[in-house]
Amino acid sequence: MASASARHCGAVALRVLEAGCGETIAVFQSTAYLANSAGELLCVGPASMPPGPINLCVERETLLLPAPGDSWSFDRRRLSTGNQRLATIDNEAIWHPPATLQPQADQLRAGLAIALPLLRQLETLPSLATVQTTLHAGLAALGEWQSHDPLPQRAIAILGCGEGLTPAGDDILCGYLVALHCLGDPAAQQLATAVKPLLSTHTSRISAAHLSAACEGAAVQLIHDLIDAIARNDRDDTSATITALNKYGHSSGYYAALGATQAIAHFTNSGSQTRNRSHSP
Amino acid sequence: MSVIINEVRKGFYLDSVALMRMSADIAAADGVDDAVLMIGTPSNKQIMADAGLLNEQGERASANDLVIALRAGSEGDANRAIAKAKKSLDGGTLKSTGSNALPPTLASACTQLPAANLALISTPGSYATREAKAALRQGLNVMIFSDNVSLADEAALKQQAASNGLLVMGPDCGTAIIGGRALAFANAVPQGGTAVIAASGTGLQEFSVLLTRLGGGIRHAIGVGGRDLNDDIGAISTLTAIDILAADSQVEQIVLISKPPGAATANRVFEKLANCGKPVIACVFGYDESSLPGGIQYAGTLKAAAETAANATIPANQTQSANALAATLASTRTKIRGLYTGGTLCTEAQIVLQQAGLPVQSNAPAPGATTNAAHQLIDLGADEYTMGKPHPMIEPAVRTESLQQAIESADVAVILIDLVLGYGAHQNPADVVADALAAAPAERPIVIASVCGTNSDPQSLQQQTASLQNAGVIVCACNADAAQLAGEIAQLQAG
Repeated sequence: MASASARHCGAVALRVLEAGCGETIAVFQSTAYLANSAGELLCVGPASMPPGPINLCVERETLLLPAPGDSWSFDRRRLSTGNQRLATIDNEAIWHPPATLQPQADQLRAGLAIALPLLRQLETLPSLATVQTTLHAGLAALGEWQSHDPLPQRAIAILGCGEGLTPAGDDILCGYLVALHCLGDPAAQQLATAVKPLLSTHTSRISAAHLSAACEGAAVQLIHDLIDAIARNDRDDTSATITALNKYGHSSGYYAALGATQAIAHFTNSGSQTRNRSHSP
Repeated sequence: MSVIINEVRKGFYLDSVALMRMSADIAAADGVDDAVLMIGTPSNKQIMADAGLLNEQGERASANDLVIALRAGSEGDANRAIAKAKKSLDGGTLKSTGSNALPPTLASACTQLPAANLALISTPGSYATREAKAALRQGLNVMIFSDNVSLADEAALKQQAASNGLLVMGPDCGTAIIGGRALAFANAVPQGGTAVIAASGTGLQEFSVLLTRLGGGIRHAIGVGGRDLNDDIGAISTLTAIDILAADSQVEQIVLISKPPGAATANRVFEKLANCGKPVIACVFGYDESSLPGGIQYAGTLKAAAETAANATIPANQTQSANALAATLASTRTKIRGLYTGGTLCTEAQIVLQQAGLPVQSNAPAPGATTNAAHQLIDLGADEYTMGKPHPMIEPAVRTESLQQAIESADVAVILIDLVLGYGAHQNPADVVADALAAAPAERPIVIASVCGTNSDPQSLQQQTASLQNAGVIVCACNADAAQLAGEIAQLQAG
C-alpha cells in the first residue's frame, strides 16, 4: 500500500521524526504516540485530527496503526512502521502556530463576553468533586499570580490533576500558556519556566509532550482559533470554535478553552499592564 | 468497615473516554462507595488520598502509571469490582463502543438504567426547564441543581409533577439526601429515621451534621427550592414531599426548615404536616411557637431542631467565656461582621443575634433585619458575590478580601464565619482562613467560627477545627452557638 501524504505535521512532530527512528509507546482507537531516542513524542492520526505542534495528521480517514513497542523509522521524508509506509511529509504540510496577536483590550473584553457564557453551558464535572475544587483553586491562583513570584502551590497542584489521558489541569495550563503567548504577555515565558522543570515528575509523558509545546506557545489549531476569534470579537467564529473544542478529546478541548479564556480575562483586567511594566527596563 | 483496593498498571495509557466510562462502571458496581481511574501524578494521588481512595500501593504509582482506586463496603465487593476493572483493562469490554458509554441524552440514560426514578438536572438555567420536563415525561422525579429557572417555569414544572405523583426538588437545589445517598453538596451523614424538607443548601446541611453528632441519621433530605413556600408556587413540592415521607415506613419523624411561608400557603403546609401521622418539628425562621398549630414541635434555630429531633443537647466545645474574650478587645470595637458562605447559616445567625436584642443588617435579610444596623452579616454565596466567581463553599479564598477588610476595621469586635464541609466543598477551607489570619496584626477582632461537617466528610471536621484553632479562631459547636457568643461579646463591648 502506497504511503499517504501528511495533511499537517507540527514543527515539534517533525523534530521528533528527524531523529530517524524510535518506538511506539501508546496506541489508541485512531491515534498512536511515537517516541524518538531523546524521549520526545509525536502523535500520528487520521486527517480528522486537528493540526497541532506534536500532531502528524495523515491524509486518510483511518490508519493501520502500529502496536505498542513497534519501532518506526523516518527516511527521505517517509515515516514507516514495520513494513508499512505510514506517511510522506512535504514541506507544505509543516504546521506552525499562528503569529502573536496585536490585541485590543476592548475587543478582547467583548470577545470574552461572547465566549464565557458559551463555555459555562458546557461545564463538565469530574467524577471526584475534589478535582473540580483543585482546578478552581488553581485557576484562581494563576489569576492572582505575579510573574516575578514563585508559582503558587495551588497553581502547581493543577499540573497532572484530573482524569483522562491529559489531565484537566494540564489542559487548562495548556490553554493558559498559549493564550498568554499569543497575547504577547511576558508572563507566558515566566510560567513556562516554572512549569517545564515539573513536567517529568508531575504529569504523564504524553501530557508533558503537549504541555512542553504549549510552553513554546503552541497547541492544537483549535485553541489558536479560539483566541483569535475572541480577539476579533467574532461571535460566529467563537461559537463554532468552542463547539469544535468541546468535541476534542473527552474534555480536553473544554478545559483548554477554559484556561485560555481565564488567561485572556486576566490579561484584560490588570495582568498585562502590570506584567509589562514589571518587565520594562 | 470500608475496604480500599488500588491496582497499579505501570506505563499504561488509555484514552480519556475509556477511562471515564470505566470509572463510572466500577463506581456503579454493587457495594462500591467510590471508584476512580487516574494516572498517578502527585496531584491525583493527593486527590485520591483526600477522597479516602488511596492505599500504599497506589501511593507508589508514578505519573506514567494508571491507578484503579476503589473503596467498597466489604472485601468481597471490592474484589469483585477490581476483578471487573482488570478484565476490562485486559482487553474485554473497553473495546466495545455502545452500551457502556455514558449516555448523551436523557432518553438514552433511561434506556441504560430503566430502573432509575430520579433525574438530577445540572445544566445552564435556560436549558434546565426543557430537561426537567423531559424527565417528568419519562416518569422520573427531578432534582434541579440549576438556578436561573423562571418562577413561571418552576410553577409549571411542579404542577406537571404533582399531577403525575412526582416530586420536583429545586430549582437551585444544591443539597439532597435520598435513601441515605448524598446528592450534590451534602455531608457524609449516616442513615437514620429522620427526614428533612428544606429549601436547599446549608440549612439542610447544618441540621444533618448536628443530628449526626447527636447520634441520629438521615433517611431523606429533600430540597424543595427557595421559592416553593411562596404563594406563587403554593408549596407544591413541599406538599408532595410530605406525602412521600408520610408514606415511607422508615421515616420516623419529619423536620421542616424554612423561611416563613406565604400567608396563603402556610395553613395548607402546617395542616398537612400536623396530620401526616408522624412527629413533626418545624424550624421556620422568624416564626415563634404560637405561629404553629398544635402537634408540631417548634424549633427556633437549626441547633434547636437537631436537639429536639435527637432528644439530646449539643455540648459546647469551646471554654473561653464572652467576658474573657471581650477583655482582649479595645473598647472601640463594638460591631459584629458576619462573612458567611452558607445562606441559611447567615439567616440563622441573624435570628440568634436579634433574639439577643442586637439589630442586624444583611444582603440576605432575615425577618426583622433592618437596613442600617450596626451589626452586618453578609451572605457571600448570594448572586451579587458569585457572579463570575466560584461559590465560596467551593473556593473560600473569595472570602479573603472581605475577611481582611473586617480585620482592618477599627470598630469590628467579632468576625463570624462559617466553614461548610462535605462533598463538593473546598478540600481545605480552614487553611484559607488561617492564611488570611497569619498576616493579621496581633490586635485584631476576635474571629468566631462554626464548622458544618462531620468526621466522615472528605475534609474531616476534626482536622478543619484543629486548623482553625491553631490559627487563633474560636470554634463553636454550631452556627447558633457561634452567633450567640458573638452577641454576648458585642453586648459587653456596648457596655
